[in-house]
Amino acid sequence: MIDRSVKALLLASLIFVFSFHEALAYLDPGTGSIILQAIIGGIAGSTIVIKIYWHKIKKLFANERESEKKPES
Amino acid sequence: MSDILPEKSSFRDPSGQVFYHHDEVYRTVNTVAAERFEFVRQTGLIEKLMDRNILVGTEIVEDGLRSKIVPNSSYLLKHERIPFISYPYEWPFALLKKAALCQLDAHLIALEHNVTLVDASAYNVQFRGVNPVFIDALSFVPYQEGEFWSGHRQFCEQFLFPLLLNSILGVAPNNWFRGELNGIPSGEFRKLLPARSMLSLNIWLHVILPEFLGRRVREDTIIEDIKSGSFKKLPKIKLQNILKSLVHWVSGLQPKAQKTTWSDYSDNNSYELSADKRKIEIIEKVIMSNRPSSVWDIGCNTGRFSEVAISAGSESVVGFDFDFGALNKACLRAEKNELNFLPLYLNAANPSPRQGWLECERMSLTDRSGANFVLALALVHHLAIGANIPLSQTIKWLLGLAPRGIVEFVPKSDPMVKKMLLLREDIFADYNFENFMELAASHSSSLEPYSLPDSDRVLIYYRRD
Repeated sequence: MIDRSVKALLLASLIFVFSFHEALAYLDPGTGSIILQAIIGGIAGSTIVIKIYWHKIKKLFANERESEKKPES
Repeated sequence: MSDILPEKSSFRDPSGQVFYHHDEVYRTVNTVAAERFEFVRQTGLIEKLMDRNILVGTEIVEDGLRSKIVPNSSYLLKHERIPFISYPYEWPFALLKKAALCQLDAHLIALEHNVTLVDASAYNVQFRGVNPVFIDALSFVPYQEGEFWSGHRQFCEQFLFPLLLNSILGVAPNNWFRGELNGIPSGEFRKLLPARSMLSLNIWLHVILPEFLGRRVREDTIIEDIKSGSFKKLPKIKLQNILKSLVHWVSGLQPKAQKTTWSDYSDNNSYELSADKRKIEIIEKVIMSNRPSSVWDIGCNTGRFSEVAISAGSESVVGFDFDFGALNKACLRAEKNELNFLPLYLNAANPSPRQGWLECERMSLTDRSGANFVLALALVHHLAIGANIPLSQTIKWLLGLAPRGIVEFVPKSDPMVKKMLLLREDIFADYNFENFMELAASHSSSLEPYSLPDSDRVLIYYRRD
């Protein structure tokens, strides 16, 4: 469940990031903030859930690095 | 009515205006906002926020007075007066952080009452001592299920980015903030982020993605989609979670550890313990005989002497210093010892000017003067020698700040001044005690010099009245 929402958030962000052209100067700079909230509201779970998941990812990488180091020591 | 003095910064929101009448602060609630205000009032939110010391004292003025002063308004609010109006570009890290948390707390409590905040302006927060208080009762409006947080970008630019600038990069945002007036722009801030900060999901959510999406999206249809509700909206619980995660993030932010020049000054200064003791005695004695309601401590450092002034009977102290390390320590002191002391950033050689719309949206330091006592300890040499301000102008400015005060004269024989002159030519022929006294006499009616033991420094108690 969490998996799917995080993937969806990242996917949606990537679609947004790469499918639109450079901004016009008149655009309200707050637009990005609202679009992001729409993404969060529509697809992803709460930021806290994502955050927990994010720590897990970081932990995963940290563990990998630690296990890589172990044979050397 | 001629005795109504409009607050010049109160023009952006058509819901109401702030004005002064017989020295009291009032806010009108205009017809356009009457229904919204009535809703907010009936939720009991205003009382709750006041009980928790989050909202400035606010009461509804009875109709008789309202129709007499501002007949076209729907409501008239009377606010508690904040002793000294300060601006976000004058706040050290510790105060900006407190203000950010106050803004978020107010928003979260409001949401529990089905009310939301229409903006997130840092100028809506003021300080009583170092305790933040929200001042704009009309920023609260009824919450519509699913609505987006329209103040997100403003919160980021006026609170979050200035805090992050300090905590990630160790750069004080104040002068940049003062120049921009509305905070640190997202586009500029993003360019400064170091690669390691990209590991933070919060940085992606509040800095990179909003800025990137806003910059890239040019299709008006998307904006239309958002407006028309084709996108799924932001459920309340998710808005609350965004706010709560910001509370969590901001609470943990600390200024990047740096030892500043003056943060250890109180422990590390160049004069003797006996001189220091005597200095405290003199300040205590003079403050006790004056009992000033408002003291300005220019060059307050960590607030040691501000605290002495408060203990000796002054009601409140506004401290000013240009060293952020010292200011953050001063905030800690005020908090720990519960002092009515507000430490602010000031470069005395370049004080806050009048600025903003019509050059009067934000007041200058002089516009806000109202102190009845000034303390200027170990300051004169920084202005007269460090910043090349003529001694005559330095004295005129300092003695002009309040009718009475104590100014410290630090002679050229003092180790601190010697250090300042070590690598530069001494072009300060008139910088001596006799000249100082002569100049000070021309701006005052009485001068009482107090010498300090084992030191060449002199404290001068002046009176203009």
